[in-house]
Amino acid sequence: MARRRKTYFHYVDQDSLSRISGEPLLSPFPMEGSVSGHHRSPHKGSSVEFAEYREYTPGEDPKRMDWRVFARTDRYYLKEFEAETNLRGQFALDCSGSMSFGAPTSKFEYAKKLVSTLAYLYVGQGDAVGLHTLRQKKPQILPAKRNPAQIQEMLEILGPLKPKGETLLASSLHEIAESVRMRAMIFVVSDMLEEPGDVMDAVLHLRDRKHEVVLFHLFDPQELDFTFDRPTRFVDLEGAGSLITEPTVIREEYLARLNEHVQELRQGCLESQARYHLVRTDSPLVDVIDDFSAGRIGGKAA
Amino acid sequence: MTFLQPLALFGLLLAFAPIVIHLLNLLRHRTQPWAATRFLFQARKSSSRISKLKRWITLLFRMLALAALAFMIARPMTGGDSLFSFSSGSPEVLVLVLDRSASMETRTEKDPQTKRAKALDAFQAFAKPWAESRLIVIDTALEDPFFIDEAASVKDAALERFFGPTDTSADLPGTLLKTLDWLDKSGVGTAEILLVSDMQTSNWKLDRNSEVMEKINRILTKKKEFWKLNLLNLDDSPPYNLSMTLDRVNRRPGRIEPVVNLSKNGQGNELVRLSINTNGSPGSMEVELASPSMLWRPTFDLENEPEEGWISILGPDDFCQPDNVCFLTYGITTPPQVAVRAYNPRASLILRSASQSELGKIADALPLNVLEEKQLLLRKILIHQGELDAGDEEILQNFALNGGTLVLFPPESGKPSTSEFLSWGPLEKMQKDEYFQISGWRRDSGLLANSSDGNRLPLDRLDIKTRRIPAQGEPLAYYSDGKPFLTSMTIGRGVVYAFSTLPVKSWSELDNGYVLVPALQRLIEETASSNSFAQSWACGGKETKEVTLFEPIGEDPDKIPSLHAGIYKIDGRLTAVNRPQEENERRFHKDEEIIEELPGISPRLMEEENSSDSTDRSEIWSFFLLLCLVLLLGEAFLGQPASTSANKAISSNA
Repeated sequence: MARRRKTYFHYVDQDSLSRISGEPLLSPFPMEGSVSGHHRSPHKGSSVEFAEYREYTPGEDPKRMDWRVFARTDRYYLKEFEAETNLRGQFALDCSGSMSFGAPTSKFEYAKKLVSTLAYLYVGQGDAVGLHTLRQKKPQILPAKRNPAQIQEMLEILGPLKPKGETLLASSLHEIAESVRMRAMIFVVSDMLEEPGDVMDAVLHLRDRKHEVVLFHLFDPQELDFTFDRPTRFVDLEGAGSLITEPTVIREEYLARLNEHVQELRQGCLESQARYHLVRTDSPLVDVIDDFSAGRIGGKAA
Repeated sequence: MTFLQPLALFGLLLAFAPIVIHLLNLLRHRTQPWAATRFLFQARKSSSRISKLKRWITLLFRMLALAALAFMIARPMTGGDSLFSFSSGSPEVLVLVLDRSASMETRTEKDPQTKRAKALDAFQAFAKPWAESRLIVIDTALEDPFFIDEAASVKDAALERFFGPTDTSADLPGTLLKTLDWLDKSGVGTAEILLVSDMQTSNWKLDRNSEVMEKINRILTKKKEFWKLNLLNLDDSPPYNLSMTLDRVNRRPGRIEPVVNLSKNGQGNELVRLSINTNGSPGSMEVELASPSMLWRPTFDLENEPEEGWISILGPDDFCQPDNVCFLTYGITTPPQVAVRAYNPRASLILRSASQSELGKIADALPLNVLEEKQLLLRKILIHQGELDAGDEEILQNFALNGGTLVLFPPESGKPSTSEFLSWGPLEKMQKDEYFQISGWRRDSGLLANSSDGNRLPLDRLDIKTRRIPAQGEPLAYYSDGKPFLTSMTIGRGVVYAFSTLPVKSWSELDNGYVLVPALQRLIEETASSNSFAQSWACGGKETKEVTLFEPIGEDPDKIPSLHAGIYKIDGRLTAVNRPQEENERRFHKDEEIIEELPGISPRLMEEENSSDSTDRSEIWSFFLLLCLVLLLGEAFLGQPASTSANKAISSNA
């Protein structure tokens, strides 16, 4: 009897599919795709949407010349239309140990769902998606492809993936900036526990390469509320030591530092025209994707 | 600062409880895997100054609150005008020790109020600044603490029984000691005691109460910081006063002859009209007071009066009304049967002659060989001289216990006495031409009182060569070396008198009769009247306090024998209750004499006009209570959760 292959399709959120699948997920920036699609292209093309008139230069294809304008003005003009192309989505998933935090759903599990659902939606509208797992040992790269089998490939990579090791977010993003040649949409899904300056340098690097960048900053509710009341020994999930403290004493300062961190990232994204989304892992995924699709740059609190 | 409950200071150890709890909490921390430790490290680093300071201040507040609580329970004391005192310096209890003796009913020409009324006014003024204190009155007549809501209650007519006039005497040291005992038993912290009295010497009896005064001094010295004694001396003498006391009543066939002691101060010779009430029939008599003190011997014809009855003698109004009246009762009396048992034949003869009856019958002599109880049946007085063996002793003791009067003279031999009932000291003899002299005796009443014409008995002229001092009893007369010449002792219902010498030439001149005859005759008269159906008691005496069923005879039905003089029917017997004779004492102690008896403390001497003052010390527990509350509020404020503004700023996009 043939061994049954384990499927990870449950990572695709059905609620999100039923709500979002009717509408295309559009990029605000022009995309360079290989085929026709829903996204604006930097090039002129053959769509029905008029773009501009341009004076004919000898050597250009006379097929695109507008003869009606010639009849009126006795001059040669070319009529140009907008080109529409497909999108290359590259998901950069943080697989560091800190992503394992959270209950009942860890940040990593939530991130896998987010990536899987978005990838499904993009592939469904004819866009190409790829995956970069950001971790110390054996980082995996799945180049962007638009065929439906790509989803299955992605799920098989994501499914057995476990968070482990230190965060390598900034360096990994720099590597992505260098390795992805074609203009693409880079989805960064991480808890961003690195220096905001380093992260923003990497984001700027990506922007320099004409990529559109979307940051999904994941937080467990406990990290945001910090409601501990007894003396607690906090043990770092990435092995950076431990700390015994009275939570009530440092709560105020902790929240201030956290807020400062978030604000720096938010401000950096605003300045570099990247999109920032703060995501609580107790929020329904459909709301997060809905928010994203509405194009609310910077999120509600921005 | 001192503490009323110093043991509670051990509670200060509780102040370390917050630190211990804090350390225990740190020990029993829980472990939490955490992702965002970078913010925790940053937070601890930057909050290490303010937050640690805040945490230590919180701990300090908790410790101080517990310490304040321990201090509060320990009831600290400080000065009355202290900044920390919120109790207006009020002592816990204000006590009035009120002298309610008859002499406190004296008035002066300037002030129509009696001394007792002034004392109550003084207490009201004394209590005025201390509205928060409990008020207690302990008077010399009832000697029980009486709680009052407000100082003005002492003037309430409904409470006259507790604060009104009495015809009693007073034992001020005894009452003061009872007051201190009560304060001690009630656990009173701070007290201001106001003792108001005219300081009549007979109310203090300092010579007899030295032990009591020592005890008072010891207690007040120990409680020096907390209980304060204030003395208010109301020793104004009345400008004019006539006092009368009944000395004795001589019953004669068909008449009675009371002996009334009349004394006055103030004006000279005068004719005094006395109101006489015989069994409810008013009358009057006039007496000329020729000297400041005289014995008046009126004769009251009883031929038309019932066999038992009463007479009241009332003097004119003056500045001390209670001592203007005396009461007497009369009834059927039978002369007591007197027996003499003396081993010395000469003494036997003299004693039998000296104790002969009104009709001239000399006393019976009892056989010396054996004493039997049946020989004492129906006898009321037994005069005994000589050794007592164990059998004799038991018979005599029973005789006294059953109400008999024993008059004992010492044995001639110098053999040491082994008797427990009455023993004598060694034989003491003077050299030739030297004598033991009697220097003091009670002249106003008793066996050795002055005669009816005011002449004293010649005790100081008695030459005594030989003596044996009785070891028991209360002295009635003293030798010049302080040893007793005559003692008396109450046993059961009877009395035992003991002389220290014999009425024989080789011992003393007692045989000449100048002292012995009046003394024995008065004893016979006293015994006769005590066996009458009519009796006479001292107001406030032990027997009056024990009486529960009585009926006042006369105008005032609210009188009670333990407080008021008058005629009462008690157990079917007419009883004259008179003011105690000692209340006629006209000597008063000065403040210094009382203070000398209390060397450990310095009683505050109060003035009648201004008897209020602030106490030196007061409790400040209320300060510590307030401090404790403030510290707890501070701790609660510091322990409040931080502002949620930071938290609100971090919100999700979702």
